[in-house]
Amino acid sequence: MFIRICFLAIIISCIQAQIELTLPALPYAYDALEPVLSEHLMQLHHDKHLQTYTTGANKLLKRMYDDENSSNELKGLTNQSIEFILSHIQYLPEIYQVGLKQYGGGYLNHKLFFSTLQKPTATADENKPTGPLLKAIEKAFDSFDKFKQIFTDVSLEVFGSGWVWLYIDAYTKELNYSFASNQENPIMFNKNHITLLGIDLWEHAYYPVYENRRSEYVDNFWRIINWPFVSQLYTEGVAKQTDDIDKETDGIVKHTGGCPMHAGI
Amino acid sequence: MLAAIVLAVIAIGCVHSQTELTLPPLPYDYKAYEPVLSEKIMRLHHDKHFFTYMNKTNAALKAMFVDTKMDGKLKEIAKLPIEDILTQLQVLPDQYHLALRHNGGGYLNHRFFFSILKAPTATVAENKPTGDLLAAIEKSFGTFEKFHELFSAASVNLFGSGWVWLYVDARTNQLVLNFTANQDHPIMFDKNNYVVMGIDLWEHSYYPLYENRRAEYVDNFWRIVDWNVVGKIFTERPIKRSDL
Repeated sequence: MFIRICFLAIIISCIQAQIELTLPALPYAYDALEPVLSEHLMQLHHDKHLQTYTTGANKLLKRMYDDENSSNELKGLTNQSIEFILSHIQYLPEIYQVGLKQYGGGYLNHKLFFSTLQKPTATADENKPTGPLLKAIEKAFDSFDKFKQIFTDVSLEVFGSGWVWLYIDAYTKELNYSFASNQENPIMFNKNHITLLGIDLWEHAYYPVYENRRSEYVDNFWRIINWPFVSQLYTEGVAKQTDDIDKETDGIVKHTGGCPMHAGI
Repeated sequence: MLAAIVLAVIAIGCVHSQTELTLPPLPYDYKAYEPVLSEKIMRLHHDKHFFTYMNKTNAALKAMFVDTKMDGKLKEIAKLPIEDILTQLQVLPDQYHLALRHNGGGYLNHRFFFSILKAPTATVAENKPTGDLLAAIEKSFGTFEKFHELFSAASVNLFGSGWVWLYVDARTNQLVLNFTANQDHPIMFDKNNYVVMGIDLWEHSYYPLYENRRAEYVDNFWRIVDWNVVGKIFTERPIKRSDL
């Protein structure tokens, strides 16, 4: 009897449709980041760009789910969180990898980005992290000022569209930075990287206010980082990395609802 | 005596300087492309973006000219026209390779782009190529409309920053459509690729007027393509033995 219920539960979860991403609301009013990021810029960035990524990612996930060539595991994967999907992007067929890196990545990156911003401080200098996050920054970069300099320099060097990221490295468990082109995110390179903070360097992220003056945008970016929230992400990330054992072999099956292919039922 | 001095100065000039790029003015007034491209866009695009690519390229070439590595080969390369330098990026040391690919490419691409634009026609339909160029487009794509559709689709779908190009392919000698990322130019992939038309799809090219609406920019782009200039560029392409 119990086995029958399990079996039914597994069958039902197999038929479950793909995830449907929704446009996350901004955690503040459109004009909250003035004058660093204007209301108009935030409206465009959130209502147009993020919306486009949301719609595009959903289209791809649906196509992946509806595709008769998709295995049950793949269909199951489409029902997971976008973070999970993107951190397991290498399991996807090539035809879906590119699109999901672009639109799924765009969705995730902007969702994170908007959540890490807050009303600007009067000056960049007064806006700093504290506590364990500050300690981690000092450990990895010597001082907050050195970190800020490196992050700024790299942000100015990024050519074309991309991001600069601060993340907890999967192996060293220390903070590291990287630049990514287009909508790439550290988790696409290692599922155990924990992305904490990023700066959007696509021209749409600053053009309405700063035009070509990217350095002015980057300088002012330091005024709008929500360090308490980033600290929270850091603490949660450290805990997650500590708890996570590599479940490579059976992880996918567990996460995809255990469709019978490999569960041995 | 004066002639000798002049000759000496020219000789010294030839030997003692790398290529120094200059900023060609727009062929028309900044306002001339309204309403397809606003004066504001043209001023930013030409006076800021194009200007910055030029400055950064010149800085790289200046450094390369006095770099004694590679037995003076760097010095020789630095004296070449920018189009030639961009076909030899693979031999350059890291410190110049990317700088020239990015900024030299940016310079060449924008110099080209501004040269093929003109005041808008009232409608898209009335702005078309003629003669040999039209024949070549039809040969490669079937009809001009099909080419228009493919070029527009590629332009709308390009992800991130880049360009879509119409160029004579080095190997097949036919007109082809392709895209490049960032500021890459088809000659970087084969020195005999011959560009006849292109569209800048970096957000800076359209954002002040079209914001996120790239499709609208692409649709209107067809009103400002100067097919007379493009036709001439096509006609002036190097003739291959296979053409005869």
